[in-house]
Amino acid sequence: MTTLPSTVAGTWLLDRFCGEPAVAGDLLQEYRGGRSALWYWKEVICAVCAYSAWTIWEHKWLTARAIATGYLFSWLVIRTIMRDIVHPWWDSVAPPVLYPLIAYVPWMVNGWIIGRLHRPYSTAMVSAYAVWLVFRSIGPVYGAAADALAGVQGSAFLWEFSSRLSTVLVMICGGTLCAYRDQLLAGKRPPSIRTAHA
Amino acid sequence: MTREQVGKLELMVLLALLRVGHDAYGVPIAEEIQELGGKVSIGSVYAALDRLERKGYVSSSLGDPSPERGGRAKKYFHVTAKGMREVHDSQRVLTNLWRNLAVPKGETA
Repeated sequence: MTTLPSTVAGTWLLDRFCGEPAVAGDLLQEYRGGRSALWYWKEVICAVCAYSAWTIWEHKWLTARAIATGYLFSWLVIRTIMRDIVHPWWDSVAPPVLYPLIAYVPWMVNGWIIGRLHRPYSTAMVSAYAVWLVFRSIGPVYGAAADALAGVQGSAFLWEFSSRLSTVLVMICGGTLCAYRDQLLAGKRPPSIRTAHA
Repeated sequence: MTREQVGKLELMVLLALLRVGHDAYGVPIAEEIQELGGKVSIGSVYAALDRLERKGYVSSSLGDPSPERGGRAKKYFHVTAKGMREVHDSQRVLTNLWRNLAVPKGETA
């Protein structure tokens, strides 16, 4: 039996972000049994949110540590080294328009580090930091939107919104890659070792 | 040994699990709750079952993987003796709290 194309992404998400493999199987069986794609995706999103929210609730101190780790890394590497050292150097050796290509690399590394330091709850902890980033972005994005609506010259709403959104997405990608790597490594271990680690 | 609290969703899942009986897994449990007026997703049912299993109120066993499930096994759940005691305790406390309590229909706090 082949896998339906619309369920590939859903199953992938559940495998990465949901701690219970049976959920993906249940949803796949129901979808093949005649449920709509809308129902399937609603259940996928609910499952991912439910598991992340529960993990964050159960491990509050670990969540605080994940957010602190991300904040420390962003302050040290992104706001200090990248802005004060790498950016001026880059502008002197390469076209400034290409700087965003390397500016997002530390954000991916940030997601990776949070995931790496908070196993086996890496995806939930990366999600917690993503929520924190979104929460911190509300003020600046709202301010830029208000300026744009008021017709203030030089308003940078689109830049503010898109750069912060891409930052969050790139950071999540870094964390997801870390979790994916862990799952691949766990899959290569003999079953006895996998059971002992579970 | 300390007794761990059971939340509203967890109690609903425990009761639905008892109603479904044998071969209870995520989908029938969620459907049982939905048919009786509750609003739950399959993912939140599994998250609640995970919590209940950690507390020792339910146990689980894996079925055989099947092609229509993308090679994933069904996970069947059963209420343990500790879980049954928790259900009875919850029923007793809730029944006592509801007894002689007149709540007018449609009135909100």
